[in-house]
Amino acid sequence: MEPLHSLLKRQLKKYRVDSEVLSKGYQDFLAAVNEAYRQFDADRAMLERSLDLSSQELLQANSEMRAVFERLINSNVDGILAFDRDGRFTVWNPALEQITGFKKSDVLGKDALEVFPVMKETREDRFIQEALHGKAGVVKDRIYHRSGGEPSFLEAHYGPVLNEAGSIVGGFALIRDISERKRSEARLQQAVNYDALTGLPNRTLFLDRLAQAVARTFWRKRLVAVLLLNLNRFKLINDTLGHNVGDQLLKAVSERFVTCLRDGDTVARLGGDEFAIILDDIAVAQDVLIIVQKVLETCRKPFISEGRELFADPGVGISLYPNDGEDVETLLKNADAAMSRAKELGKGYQFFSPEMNAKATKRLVLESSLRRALERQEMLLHYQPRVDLSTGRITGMEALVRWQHPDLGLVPPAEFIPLAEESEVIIPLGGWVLRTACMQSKIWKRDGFHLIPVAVNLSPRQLRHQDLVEVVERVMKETNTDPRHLELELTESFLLENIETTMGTLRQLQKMGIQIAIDDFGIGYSSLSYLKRFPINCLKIDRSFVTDIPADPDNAAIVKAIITLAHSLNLKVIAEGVETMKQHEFLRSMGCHEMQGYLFSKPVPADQATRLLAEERHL
Amino acid sequence: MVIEQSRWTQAVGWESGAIGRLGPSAQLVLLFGGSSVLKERNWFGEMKKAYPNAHLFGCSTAGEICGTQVSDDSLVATAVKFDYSRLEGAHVAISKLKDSFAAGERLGQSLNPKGLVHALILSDGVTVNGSELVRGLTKGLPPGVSITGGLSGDGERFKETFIFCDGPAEQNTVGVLGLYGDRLKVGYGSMGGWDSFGPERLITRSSGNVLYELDSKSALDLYKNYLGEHAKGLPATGLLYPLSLRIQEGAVGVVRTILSVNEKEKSMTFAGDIPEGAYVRLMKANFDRLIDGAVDAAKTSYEAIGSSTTDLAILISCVGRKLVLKQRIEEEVEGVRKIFGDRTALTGFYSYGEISPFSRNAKCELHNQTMTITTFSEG
Repeated sequence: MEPLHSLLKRQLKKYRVDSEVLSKGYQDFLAAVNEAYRQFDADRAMLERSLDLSSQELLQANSEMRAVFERLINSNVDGILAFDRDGRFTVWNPALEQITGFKKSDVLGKDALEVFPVMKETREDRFIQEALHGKAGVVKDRIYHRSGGEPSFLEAHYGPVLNEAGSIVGGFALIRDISERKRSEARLQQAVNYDALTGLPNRTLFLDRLAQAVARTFWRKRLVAVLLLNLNRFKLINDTLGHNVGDQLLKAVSERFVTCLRDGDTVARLGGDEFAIILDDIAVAQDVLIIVQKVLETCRKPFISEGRELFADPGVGISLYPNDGEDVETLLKNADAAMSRAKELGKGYQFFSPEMNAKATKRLVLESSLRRALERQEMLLHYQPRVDLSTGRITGMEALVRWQHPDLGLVPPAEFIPLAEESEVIIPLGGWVLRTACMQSKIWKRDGFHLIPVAVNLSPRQLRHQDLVEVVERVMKETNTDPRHLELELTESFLLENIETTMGTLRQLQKMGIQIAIDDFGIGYSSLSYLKRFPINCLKIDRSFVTDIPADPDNAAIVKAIITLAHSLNLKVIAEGVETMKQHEFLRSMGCHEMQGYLFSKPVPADQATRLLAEERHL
Repeated sequence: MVIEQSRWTQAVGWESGAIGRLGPSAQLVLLFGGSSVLKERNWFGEMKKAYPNAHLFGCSTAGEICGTQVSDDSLVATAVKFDYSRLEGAHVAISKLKDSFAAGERLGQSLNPKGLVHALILSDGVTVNGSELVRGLTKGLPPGVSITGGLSGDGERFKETFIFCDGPAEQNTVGVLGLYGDRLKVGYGSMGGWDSFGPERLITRSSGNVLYELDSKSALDLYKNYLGEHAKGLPATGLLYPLSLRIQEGAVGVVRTILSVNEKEKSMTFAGDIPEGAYVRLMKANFDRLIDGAVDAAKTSYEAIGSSTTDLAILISCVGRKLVLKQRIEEEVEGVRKIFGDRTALTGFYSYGEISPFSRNAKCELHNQTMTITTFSEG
């Protein structure tokens, strides 16, 4: 038999049971009882061991989970807090310290209203109560004023914390600082609706505001005025003085525009140098003029940029709702037509009138037929002779393009050249003019006339076109023209666009032997120093200075100055638009080399020009 | 139903004197005995002589139940004459764990499906994956046929188990008894009474019913640590800490017990699947709840047949319970007796695995550490 269990042995001894007797008569019984005692001990030991081991395991698992939990909470970039059933904070992570400025040690154990009394007013404390009743909630775009810091935008997600049995033991909130997102939203909003350079509303916002103004005015007997403005000569300033100066000018102009307006009016930059103004709630059209005059007046004062005085007077086109259009699109279109008219007329402003539309329609018709004019052979050249002032003989011919439109008749160059210029038709047209003029020169040469140089006008677009030199070269070759008998004329202002490129192109042309003339000289802005640098052979005095000489002392002085200048720079000088003998005499006396004008001959078709040559006509 | 029951022990022989009073009228003899006893004599021959027309169905055990008594190394024979029902037996050989599903399916298909009410299954207890066997059997049987039974035992040795199925005791065998008859009522219930404790552990390495690692650490080492000095008693002492297996979140845990241990591979083979990715917790016995569990199983099976008089109850209880309850093991059988009353014949054995649905309409499953009770009556 197994040795007796110590407790059993003690009990037997205590109650004076004779174990000898017992083991004889009740051996199996005693063994069973002994086994039960032993078994009980073994079971208890097992239980204690398992309790001990599992406690250790759970403790370790718990501490590992706690470490992960703390790490996650503490390294989270969003604020995390938790509160118990009484709403007292139990978790407060470092991100939240950053966001709120409150240290963990300051808030743990306190309830939300103790730390943030303002929650009562913002009613945000109800989210805590709701979380403790099992309901999740979101607070969006909450502005938080951290003491000593910039106000920030917060977003908070509240929710309950449940235990395994599903009962609520507290709540939590995840708090995100969304200030950066808010700022970029605002920036985006600004970028979408405002012009970056001037800070004025852009086209999008302008159209929106105009639509609103129109809608507001619909039921009232009032007017809305749409003013479309662009700056005369802005392009020139931009091209000659650089974009920086141009941008500064636009900003300065914007600021002046703003000062002219009433509260509630809108000035917007639509793009480039194009601005637009909405004048809301106007009683009569005349009221618009008060503001227009202010705008024009304010721009009359020079703008100062880099020590330089700049002038940027706007052309203003005006359309009125509801008279000139009932929708945004029509109002803008008509204001645009009025603005074009203002420029044409050289006026500061122009109200829209219906016939402007007729004009615009005509322009559209012209534009489309212009594209086909060359292939339909509707273009032709006229020639105006140039005369030597001392001998009175023809010294050359200026080729001038004319358009014989099948329906509209002869279209003046002033109407179709700008159109051609805008639509790139100018490139093939210019090529055609050059070729035709050279052919004519060849014919005159064949027919035995003494060498007659032809002058051909170059448009700025042609000048900018990369192939210009190549085209001229080819035409010269094809028509077998002596380059000395070709003169290319360009206006003063075009010289100043892309000075370096232009200068290079002109040098190449001049190297070929071609003569270069400056047309309409005197009305542009050329700095005299350029004249020296440019490869130029000839100056043509603009007709506006020739009118009324010698009676007009100003013009006479200018003409005299130009001639003197030409002499000193060793340039040929030609007067344009000479109509009277008085002008002729004056010019000759001043030493002007040549002239052209009605005094000798208007521009005539090739056959008539040939006749003038054949007759050896002279002044 | 007429039932005649007797127990044989080395010391006494047949306790109730001669057996075979039912003689040729007996249709079934259920035989449960210790493996050493089964090897001792030609019991099949003796039984055939006493009950020439009866199907002989039984197995080796880890303890035999006869009435409210639990004994080891005895043989309990229960002869049954049904009033209205008839029987059919079948068996297949099984030698590898992976054949378990196929064996179950073949066995199910070998029973005549017509009028089949219930299938009682007794399987080899060492070379079988009980979960697979039950799945195969369920597939092989016509739908609606209930299944109960158990894995045979070999004391606390886990070495060799035997099955009787109309022949001498055989190893590596699975037998099934088909019960037919309109008036036959079968009830069943299965209850455990073990508590989970400690952390939940993830099965990180396993294959079928072989477990290697929990939470990437050796499962065998974990057992040894918890068993302490009892570790030397493995695999039997492993029954003190069955596993509660939870395959899905929120699912009811099933209990798994150890069948064998492989020291070289550091692996433990369980009586049913131990799938990777599932969670397990160790379980420990709670004496009161073990006994309550047996009583609850009895109630469930009793209520399942409409609380009418139960003639026969087969109790299949886990060896693990016996290992824990030790001298108090009979308390669970006594508890069962209280539910059924004196008129019901109780027989059964301590097994290496119990087979039964948890409750009516549930899927039949392999259980461990439970008391599984199947009741029969003919109304």
